[in-house]
Amino acid sequence: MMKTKMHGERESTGNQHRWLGGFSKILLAIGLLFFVLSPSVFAADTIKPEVTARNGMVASAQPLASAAGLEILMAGGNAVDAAVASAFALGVVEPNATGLGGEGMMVIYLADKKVTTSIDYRSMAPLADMSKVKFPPDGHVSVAVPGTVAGLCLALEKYGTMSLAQVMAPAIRYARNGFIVSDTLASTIKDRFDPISKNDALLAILAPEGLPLEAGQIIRNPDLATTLEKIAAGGPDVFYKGEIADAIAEDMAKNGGYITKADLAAYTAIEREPVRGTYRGYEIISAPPPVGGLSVIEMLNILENFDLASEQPLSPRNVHLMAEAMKRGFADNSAFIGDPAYTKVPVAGLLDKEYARQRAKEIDPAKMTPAVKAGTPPEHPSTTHLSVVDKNGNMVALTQTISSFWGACVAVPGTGIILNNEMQNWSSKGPNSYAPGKRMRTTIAPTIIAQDGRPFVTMGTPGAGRIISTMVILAVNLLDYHMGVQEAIESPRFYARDTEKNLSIEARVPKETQDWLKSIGYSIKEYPDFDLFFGGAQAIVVDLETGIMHGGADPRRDGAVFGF
Amino acid sequence: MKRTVYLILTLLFVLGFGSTSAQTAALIPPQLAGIFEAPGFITSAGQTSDAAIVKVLVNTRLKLNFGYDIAAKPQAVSGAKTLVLVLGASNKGLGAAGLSIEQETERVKVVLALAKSEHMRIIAMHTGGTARRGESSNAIIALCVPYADVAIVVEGGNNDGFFTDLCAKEKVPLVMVPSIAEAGNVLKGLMAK
Repeated sequence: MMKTKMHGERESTGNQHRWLGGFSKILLAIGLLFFVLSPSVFAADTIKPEVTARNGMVASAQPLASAAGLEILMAGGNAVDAAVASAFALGVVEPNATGLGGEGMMVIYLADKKVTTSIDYRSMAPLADMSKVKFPPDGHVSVAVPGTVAGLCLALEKYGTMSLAQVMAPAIRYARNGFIVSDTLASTIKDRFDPISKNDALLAILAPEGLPLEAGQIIRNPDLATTLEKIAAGGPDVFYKGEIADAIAEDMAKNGGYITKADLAAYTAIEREPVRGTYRGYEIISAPPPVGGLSVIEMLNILENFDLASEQPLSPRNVHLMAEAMKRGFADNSAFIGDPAYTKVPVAGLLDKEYARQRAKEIDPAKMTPAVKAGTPPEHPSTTHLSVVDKNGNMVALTQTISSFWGACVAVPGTGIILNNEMQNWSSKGPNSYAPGKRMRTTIAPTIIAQDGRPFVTMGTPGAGRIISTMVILAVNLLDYHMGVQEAIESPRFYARDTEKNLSIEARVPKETQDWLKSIGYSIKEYPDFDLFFGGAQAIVVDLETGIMHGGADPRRDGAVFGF
Repeated sequence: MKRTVYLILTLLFVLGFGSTSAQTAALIPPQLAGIFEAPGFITSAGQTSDAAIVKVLVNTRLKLNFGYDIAAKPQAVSGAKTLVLVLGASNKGLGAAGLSIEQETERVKVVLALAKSEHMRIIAMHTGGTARRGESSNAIIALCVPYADVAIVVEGGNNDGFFTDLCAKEKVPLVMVPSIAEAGNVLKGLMAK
């Protein structure tokens, strides 16, 4: 594995000595030295066990969704069949985070052809001019044209082996029979109950007796079961041109929303070339603009200029270097990434190793950079996550969303569909500024990692702005620190962004690290030990020698891995 | 035979219904039963979304038709005879309202001052369990409870006896309930017929 050291890195000891003045600082330095040099202080014990299997594996944010995928794999389906089944099921059993009213992006590896591709089913702005509209965080105006049905159906049609009816059967069953509300789901209902309580159709699903469903109660959505059955029988046209489109357009018209039948009919999922880069000799294949895979690779490119593995995963220096790389990647993300149909994204420039080296040189190893600006990438002539692996080595990394939990807090009457609130994700200016029919930028970044042309990791996470930083932490944990997949997922997380003054961390980040980070200028915002704020990652790692699959799911949400 | 089964079922239903009502009545301090008057107004103290749940409980289930604003300014509250303060600090709620905890504390202080000046009766409610406890929540609870005529607390939120101690110190009657639904029944029992 390639290891590089930066010029400035050798100087860090000298710089650190300069700020060590008083006795307390000497004590801190001794503590830090002990921390950095001691054998692993991180036990490999994990809250959830790592799951292993040989013939197929599904890791998703909800046990029933993982079970849906496993059911399809065991019935002979491939990874795409299983991913589509799990994704439809997630829309039922994790309705706070995804569903037919949402969108997503997936990266697929096809083992027989040895190719990767991605399907962009991001939502898009309605075609009407909304340039004078202030986009609210909820309600009908906040809804963008959903892409989930188009994206999943396209993936299945091109790369699956089963029928829609077969892969949608588990989702239909869950919606019709119901399932038990988890603590996580119950808390998301309570957290957004104010806007939820303003929409009768949504209230009928989430508070059928007037009060929000509690953990342990059964939630059913028979209208959604019927909607899914209609799609299973009639295909995506039922949703985009048929009676479901009628229901959505009618509800929009009644409530001041902008989506019309013409908007729905105009929607298409787009197959795109994934973005690719390398990190310490491994190939990183991720979701292309308008989402965040490019930024994950850029941050890893910056980090490649430092020897992270020479210190403990959460050593003060490593957290600082990673935070600084995150800030630079986020600054470039805001400045350059948008819908490629509307803006020229400097993909090659942002992936350029020399550009990353220049960005890495900006980092002072002993001082926080208070204000990080976008760089100048060189010009080039081009411009609720689930992971599945099947026995033939096909892989899918798929991330879907409805933006905020419960999206727009709007359900379409009679359909059980909960709509997204993606229209809040436009920027006031730059490559992500609003335009009719445009797809807004988000940070989702489903990713596959390969070694010598052989994919062996599929991973991803939800978590809004924290998606990109969490993906970088996951990659570093796996590739630099050689953690097991579950350990990599459970490891303490942190998040820094160019636009935020705080370094957000989980409380498990060692006190010594926190103290040192404060001493070099960081404001620390501490979250509980395991916090949903940092996303809920799922990943599968395949041992390329034995073929054994190792799956990990995040205890920060209700993640579960099943294999056989 | 069929008639006997119906009779037993009816008896069980009546007894069950009666005992629930009796249980609720037993929870309500006698000196407070029926003394709270409409119109009422619900707001949060700490921007907890539990306020929205209490609104649905009070207005949809109990049909009490109280005013509601999770971040009410004093002018919205003015004129009410009963103020329901739903207690608990929520970072998400504060973020959504664009308020810092300091700004929210100031808002609550102004609302409390108005309520006092207009001689409103105040019901402090805590329904969020341990999720709505912690440093910020405790501070805002400690601010509000001394002004309250009664505190209704869903049991999980008082596991550490915080409300028991605070209410004893401030001489505020404390009504512990097992569920949010029961909190609604108590609230209804407090209201004048």
